[in-house]
Amino acid sequence: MVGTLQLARALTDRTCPIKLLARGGETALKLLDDRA
Amino acid sequence: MTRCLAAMPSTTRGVPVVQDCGQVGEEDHRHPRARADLTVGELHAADVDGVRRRVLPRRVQSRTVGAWTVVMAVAPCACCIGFCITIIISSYGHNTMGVDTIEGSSAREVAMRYGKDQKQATRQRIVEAAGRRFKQDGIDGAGVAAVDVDAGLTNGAFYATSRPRRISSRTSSPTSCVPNAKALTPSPGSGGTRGVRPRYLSPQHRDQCADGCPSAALLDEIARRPAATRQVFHRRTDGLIDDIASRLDPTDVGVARRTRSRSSG
Repeated sequence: MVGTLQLARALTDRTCPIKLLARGGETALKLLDDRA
Repeated sequence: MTRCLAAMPSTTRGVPVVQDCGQVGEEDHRHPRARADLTVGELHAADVDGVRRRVLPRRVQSRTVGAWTVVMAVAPCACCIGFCITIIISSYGHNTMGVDTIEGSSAREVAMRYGKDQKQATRQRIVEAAGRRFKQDGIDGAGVAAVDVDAGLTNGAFYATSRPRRISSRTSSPTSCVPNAKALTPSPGSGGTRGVRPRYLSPQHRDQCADGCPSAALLDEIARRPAATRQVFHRRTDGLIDDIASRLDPTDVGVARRTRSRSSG
């Protein structure tokens, strides 16, 4: 999540980081579910 | 000469010639005998710590002269019978200098009476301001002047309270990490960990670098800092990892023990 946030901050495009954050959130949830 | 002196205000008689108004007040205190024109009669004895000493009359002249500080340049003049005394009356502001000298002493005494709590509060303000500034501009990009402004302090107060590089490298980022960690783990259990995600990966957190996660803001810089800085960050990060791990798996005895010992220590 830290890396995703850093990448989102580094990008200048406005729409791409939002998609990136959403996808990063989904990945984090998936990791949590897999662990459970 | 006598006529000229008679024309002068009575309060200036016997007052030493002041060559530089801007230094009189300070010189009086540090080098009392350096004022060569002072007579013994202008001094009075005082008992300080059991020792009889001669002390100065504490700028009485400046105050009694009032708003006018008189600078006399005594020079021989062929046209006059004796000497021609040129009196240059300086601006009104010089008198306030004299009063400030007296009041400045008491102001310094008041400043010296600031308690430990006050110092601690000031230091905390510096640490918080420095943490925000570092996250915003980077550790190398943040200057002392900017932190001063953010903390509402003067440069002198900053240096009197802290050592800037220590703040940058050891204090700020770990300290600012703690409230963030608490804010990002609002409830126990894995539900709390899941609750972190929407806020952490939100456009608001992306845009609020100064108030956000220090790891995301400073991680690459911390990797290049000295070992002492990285050790502090390592300890704090260990705590954060254990905190998250204990929420994900409360049955993990090792993690729970480390978390307990850290919170009690």
